[in-house]
Amino acid sequence: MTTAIPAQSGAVEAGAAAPAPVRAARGGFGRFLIRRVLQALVVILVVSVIVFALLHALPGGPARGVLGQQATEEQIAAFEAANGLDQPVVLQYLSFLGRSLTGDLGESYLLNQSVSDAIALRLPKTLLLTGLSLVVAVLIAVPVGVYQAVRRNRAVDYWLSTLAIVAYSTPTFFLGMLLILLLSQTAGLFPAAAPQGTGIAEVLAQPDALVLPVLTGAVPIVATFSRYMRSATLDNLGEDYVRTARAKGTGRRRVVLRHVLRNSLTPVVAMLGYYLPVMFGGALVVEQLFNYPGMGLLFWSAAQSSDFPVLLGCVLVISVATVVGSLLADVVQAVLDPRTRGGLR
Amino acid sequence: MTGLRRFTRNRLAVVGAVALAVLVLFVLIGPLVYPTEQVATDLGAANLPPGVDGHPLGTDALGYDNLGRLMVAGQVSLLVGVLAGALATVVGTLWGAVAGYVGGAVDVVMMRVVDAGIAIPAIFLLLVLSTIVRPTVGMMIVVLGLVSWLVPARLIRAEALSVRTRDYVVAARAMGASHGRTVLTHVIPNTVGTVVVNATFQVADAILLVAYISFLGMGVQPPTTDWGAMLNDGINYIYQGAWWLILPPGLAIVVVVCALNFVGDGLRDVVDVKGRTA
Amino acid sequence: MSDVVLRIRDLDVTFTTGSGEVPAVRGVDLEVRRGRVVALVGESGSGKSVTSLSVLGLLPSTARVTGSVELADGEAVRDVVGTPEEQLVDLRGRVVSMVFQEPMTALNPTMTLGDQIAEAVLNHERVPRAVARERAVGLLRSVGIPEPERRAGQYPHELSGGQRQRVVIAIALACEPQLIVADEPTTALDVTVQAGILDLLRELVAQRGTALLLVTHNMGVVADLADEVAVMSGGRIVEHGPVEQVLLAPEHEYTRALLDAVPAVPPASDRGSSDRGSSLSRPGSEVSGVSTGSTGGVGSTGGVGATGDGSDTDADPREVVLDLRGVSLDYRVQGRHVRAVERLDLTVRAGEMLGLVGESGSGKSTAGRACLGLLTPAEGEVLLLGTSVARARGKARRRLLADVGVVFQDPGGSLDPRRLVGESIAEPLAIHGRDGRRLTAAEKRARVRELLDAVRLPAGAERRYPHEFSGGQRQRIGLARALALRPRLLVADEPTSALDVSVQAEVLQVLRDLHAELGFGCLFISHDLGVVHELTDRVAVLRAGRLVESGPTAEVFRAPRELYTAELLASVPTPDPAAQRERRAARQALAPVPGAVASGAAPAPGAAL
Repeated sequence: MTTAIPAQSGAVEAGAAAPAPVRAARGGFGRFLIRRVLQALVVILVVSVIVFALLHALPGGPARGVLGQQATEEQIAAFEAANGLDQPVVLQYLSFLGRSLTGDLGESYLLNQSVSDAIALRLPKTLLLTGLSLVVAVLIAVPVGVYQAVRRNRAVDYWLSTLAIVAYSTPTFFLGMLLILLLSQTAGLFPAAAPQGTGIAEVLAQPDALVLPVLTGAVPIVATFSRYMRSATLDNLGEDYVRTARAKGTGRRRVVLRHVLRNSLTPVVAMLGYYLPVMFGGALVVEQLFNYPGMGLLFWSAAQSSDFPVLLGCVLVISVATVVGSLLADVVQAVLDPRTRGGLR
Repeated sequence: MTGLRRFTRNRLAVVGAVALAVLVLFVLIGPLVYPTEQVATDLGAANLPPGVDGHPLGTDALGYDNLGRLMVAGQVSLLVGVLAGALATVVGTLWGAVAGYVGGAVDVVMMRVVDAGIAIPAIFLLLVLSTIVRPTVGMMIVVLGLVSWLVPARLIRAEALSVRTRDYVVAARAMGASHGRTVLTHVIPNTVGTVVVNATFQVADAILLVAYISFLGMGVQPPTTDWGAMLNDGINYIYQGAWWLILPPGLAIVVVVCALNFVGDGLRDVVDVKGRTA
Repeated sequence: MSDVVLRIRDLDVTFTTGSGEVPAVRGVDLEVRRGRVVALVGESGSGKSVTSLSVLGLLPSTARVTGSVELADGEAVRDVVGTPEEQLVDLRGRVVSMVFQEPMTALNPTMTLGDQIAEAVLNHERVPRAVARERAVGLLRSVGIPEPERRAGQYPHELSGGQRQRVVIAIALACEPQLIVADEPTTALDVTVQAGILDLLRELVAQRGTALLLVTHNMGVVADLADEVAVMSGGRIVEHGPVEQVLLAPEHEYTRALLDAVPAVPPASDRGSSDRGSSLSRPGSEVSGVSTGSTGGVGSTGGVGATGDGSDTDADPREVVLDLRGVSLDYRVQGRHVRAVERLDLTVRAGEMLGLVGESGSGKSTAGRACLGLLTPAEGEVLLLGTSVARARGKARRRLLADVGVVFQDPGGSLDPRRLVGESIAEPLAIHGRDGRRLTAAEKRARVRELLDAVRLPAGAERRYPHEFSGGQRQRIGLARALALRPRLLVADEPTSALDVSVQAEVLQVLRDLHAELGFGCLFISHDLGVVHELTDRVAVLRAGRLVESGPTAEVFRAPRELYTAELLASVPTPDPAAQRERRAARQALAPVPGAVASGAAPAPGAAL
């Protein structure tokens, strides 16, 4: 959910705490959409303020932060004059915002590349990796969660729940190392290094090299979402409409597949949005561990070399991606639910 | 049935509590029973496998005894985890309680701040911060605490919102009770269970987070170390089969985080049952 | 098995819980014949719902069932007890089906109504989907849903509660089962809506010959619908017989006590007669027929009609403790203001009980909250003891509220679960002190003892937690807390709606006694016309936020001026089969389309309940 890779333990509770767009959307779908988009814009603005504050917290101020520790006094003076750093903070913020909006995130002083270009080259690969992990994870987590709910409090439910906690408690990098040791070093099934290359096509051309990174990224998501799916399914199994369905002679299997599954998926879809920051955090670790040329690796190398323009640019882009992702998840959830779709009441 | 009985009925919670106790004794009492040199390096005794020269878990690349290192690293991991988790809980609880109880525009503004904080993945923020400030143990606690208060804030807000509409709170207001009195006598006692349960999970998450930061090489600096940093050091020797540098700290993290989660689940049983019968 | 569709023999149901075995049903024998309506009545925990669920084999897995529950399936007889789930699926919906209590949650929110009905058909018949859909539309029509073609494509949230219950009934009818089990089918509905559903069920039984096992706690519903009654208590059937015999000449002590506890509205024979124009236009017009003395209880309030005429505020020397002047109240939904109460005038005098009645959504509870200063009126003023409560701040507000006590509906929610009962009762003392000073611990203890004694709870109760008490006891604890400072006004919002009738009778008796002793003014908010009739001196009828009429309770109930009041009164079923037949006829004469008059608050267009 919220902090980085960890924070899944609180997942179920905080999911309940997350604002439920469905119930909030009494004013009709259009109203809901407008409200939700405005809310996302406000959040992005607050994020930009935080990044701007970080920029000013850099050692030696933004000028040295952007130009690097080797910059001369003249360069700094020229930079400050050119970027209006002698102006009031509010004006500086506005110009920072304006530049960010036009895609100008500054220059990396190590890569000989603008930050936007560096990110544009790597973001799609990160999205591919997280997307694949997510799909794999959901395909496992949903049936497992439903199965556990149907078999609740039996031995199999107990063991799967315990396994989920163990999986969740295992740091992604430790899990990745174990997988490398077992599946790559010992069994020799898959390569330990991730696919290399500049474009998505090149990455996809090496599917066996993708297995370990995708798997490593998927396990913590499975751990979280199987728990979440289990509890959503349990809630729905206790609903009155399930009894109505059974009373008209609907078999248990059909009740679960046709009635309960759909209603349990809706809150889980919304959870996906809240889980995005955790997934991006996980991607960083996976990319670093497997040397996958995505945005996480870019960010990590920038952190090693104090390449501040890249660091702050990545934070801004990742945060915006998170906000947009949550927005999409909420909208999908609202569309799935006839109570908001129709916009009645 | 007492709370203790409910807790002990959850077998995993008991296992977790025992495991925690053992680990705490291991990192605190262990160095007294098994003192080792953890400051001066001994390159002559580097990368010894377990059992050689009286090193039960071998030594690392700098010749530190691995078992002893596991103890002192554990002190840092647990200290940072517990204090950062506690800080996050305190800040988050206050923030969430105020937003939830006051409601209205105050709530909207406070929650948008939380949304924004949550939108920035904590690891990214922590890495940026650790390039700006030198990561000492104290700094790690403050930074981690200030990054992880958002989840409890959201949780406690929801709790406060729901408590606020309960009839006994409405009745207290109708009796003329002040806001302060209502919060002190009704809202806080009825949310404290949630707070305690969540604090357990917060500590677990903080321990994980500190491991991530150290693993990425941006955590506490040598000669201070923690379990994540041990793994970061050990990964260089993974292809040489130095499993003793990887497994002990990795398993220590898994065990302590699992234990905290089991204990948290057990505490939740205690809190939930009370809420239901009432 | 001739025309017997259900035969229960020696049914025992025991639940295994964490704290041991709990017997729920013990040795129940029951038969239901084709085309007959058998009512199973009792209070909560009597085992009636468990019995009904066992007919469909829908009990949870923690239940252990012995005995037999035989259903006639064509020529065959199937015993539900011991039949595996896969075979029960074949029986449910085809041979026996069920209607549940809560229409708001009984339907799948993400499936269209048509699909939900068609599913019942498809479960048992090999027909194309389109045919099943068509059947669904026909079923919607037959349960009185207007525009069934359009409704079939809609989702549950687009219908009102009464309409949803009709859809649930349509599902139950889909495969034309011989038996329908209806578990409290009208309990969650407003009286006028309830009347419509009861009409529908009666029609279905008459036309289709379906047998009905009706589970209810409401004796009026029994009188309206049932041919036979079985009274359950403590898991056993204590009395069983034809409806007239059981309701009018009960043999068992428990049945008598249960019937005595039912608060009643006066008979309807004088209302809604053919010349309703005259009988409804003037209050107090000469009417006869108050004589069908089958429903006792009018005399118990005493002191009714201190003001003889319809105008109820003038010429009364008693002090006005609560005065609502043109009060309008809004609540906010997504930034939009929705009017809940429109220009409401009310007064409550010292020593008087004013009943505020209305159906759900009428704004009665919102009005009650405004009286407590919890809401600020959009227009008008709420005067407590002559002072505007909305404008009072700080100390002045506190002093004002010291003279007001409040009791809420939910006996579980109104006491803080983490505080001792003694602390809860002493809370007003702790907030306000007495005579401008704080009370010592000993003084508080003494006062709490007095109060517990007044509400007839044993000493020692103050050292226990709320969850150790029953609903009725908790409500009396709430009353003790409300009266701790000897308030001059008590606001009671549906204080007994969540309670069984016998428990309700106890709580009301305590309230009545304390009212007589302490002489506070009381605003009694309720949807239950029987309770209001028995308890209050004056009554105000609210509908969709507006005051419909007000006056002395006896007068308004005997001769309502407004058509809505008349229909409301006529909709309340009375526990006397003969009287109820008259009452029903009177209601149907008032509103030829069932419920047409009372559908004002229905959310969806075309609602006709």
